[in-house]
Amino acid sequence: MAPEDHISLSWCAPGDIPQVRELIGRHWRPGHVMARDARLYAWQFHDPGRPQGLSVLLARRGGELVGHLGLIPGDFNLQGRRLPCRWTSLWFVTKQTQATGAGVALLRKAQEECGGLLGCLGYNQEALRVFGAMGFDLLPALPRWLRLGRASALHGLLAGSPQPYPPQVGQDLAQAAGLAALRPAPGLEVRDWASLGPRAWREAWERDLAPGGLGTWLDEDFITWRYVRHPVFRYTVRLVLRPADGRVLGLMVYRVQELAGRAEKILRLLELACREEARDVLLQDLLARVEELGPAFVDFHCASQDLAPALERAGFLREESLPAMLPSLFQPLDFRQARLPAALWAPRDQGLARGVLNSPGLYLTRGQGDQDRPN
Amino acid sequence: MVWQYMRDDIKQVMAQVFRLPVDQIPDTAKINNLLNWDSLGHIQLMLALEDRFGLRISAENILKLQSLEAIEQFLAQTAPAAPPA
Repeated sequence: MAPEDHISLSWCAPGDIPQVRELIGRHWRPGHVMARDARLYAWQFHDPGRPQGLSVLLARRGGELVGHLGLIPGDFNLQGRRLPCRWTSLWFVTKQTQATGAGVALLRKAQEECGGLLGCLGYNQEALRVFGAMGFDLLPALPRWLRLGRASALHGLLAGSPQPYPPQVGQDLAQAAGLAALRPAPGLEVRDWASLGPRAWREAWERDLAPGGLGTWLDEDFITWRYVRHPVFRYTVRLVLRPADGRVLGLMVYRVQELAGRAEKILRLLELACREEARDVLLQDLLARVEELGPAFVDFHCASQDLAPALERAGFLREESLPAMLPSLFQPLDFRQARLPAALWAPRDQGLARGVLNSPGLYLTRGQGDQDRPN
Repeated sequence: MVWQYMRDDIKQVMAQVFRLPVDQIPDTAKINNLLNWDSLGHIQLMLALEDRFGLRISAENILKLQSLEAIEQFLAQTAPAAPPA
């Protein structure tokens, strides 16, 4: 192989960012937000363990960038044990570099050097085959829950679809919403994140939620980085407080998605991490916001089967029970039917990733990889 | 003789991975010039070689092992004595 054809792999340094953004814009997708927005890119791939660098692996051929694999740090909670974990993002090589093994070499290097779990949310069929070949366990689709907001807004939104929606979609959502019956939760109050602060959440996370949990390590650092200080989106973070003893029992995160050129909105629920007795009061708080804002619908991608009864009491339905899927990409509004698959790989323990993905207690949401970001 | 043994062994692995008769795998086989030796085929081949020869192929070597000849040279230098197929 001639020296100019040799492909090398390395971690991204801050000085690489302009070239990387050009690579994304030219070879991944013209106008991609990560090519346009340097601040968002630096935020997305910040690496607490590598203050001088970014959590991105790059492939170069003769000095020219030809491949990219983002690895978003997001540790994993295995019933109170904190395991290092990263979520893959923007994994691609240039067209001229395909069939050189550079793509799989990037993933193999991540397996070698990340020292923990590797996950992926959202991938295409080609990536699916490579993930499978490289020992990842796969979840075909992260369950999506839907709740009617305002019927007229849903009707208006779906009327814009190039393919007509069966009326049963709206009817089923309306029926489920009409049966909502959340339980009263005396003695619990819902407060803003700002009023209680990260310390209150840290205590709740470490004392009550992490020990029995399975999913992303949702401590105050993660919540602050991922939601409170997001560089583009404005998330609402709500906490449940039991004033009698000052304990925080759970957290909810959502945001309102405006649709360019349209009057309708979507409300996207991103987190519902709480003790069982706090679920209904958080969802009641969410429904009050829904009533106020009148979105077409609320959506929530979440693996947890434990949350299902509370979500059903709030009038949510699993998307798979509907005759058609609702749009899940909003910038721009895209009616193509897209599921959100997940993949997980664990070093040394072949059964761990499969056990995690098959557990009814797995708490994995759309917001924990890179699947709720501007386009 | 050792070289021939190794080459035949690699061809057996490649034949299984790429679902081709062994006699259709030329000595000059390279990624992208042999049926099914594409990106996915490449990682499947690397994993099959790891299994067959009891070694781990690093990310850097995945990038280098792009021909039958390169694989043969790599295994001659690094593989434990190949067990009978």
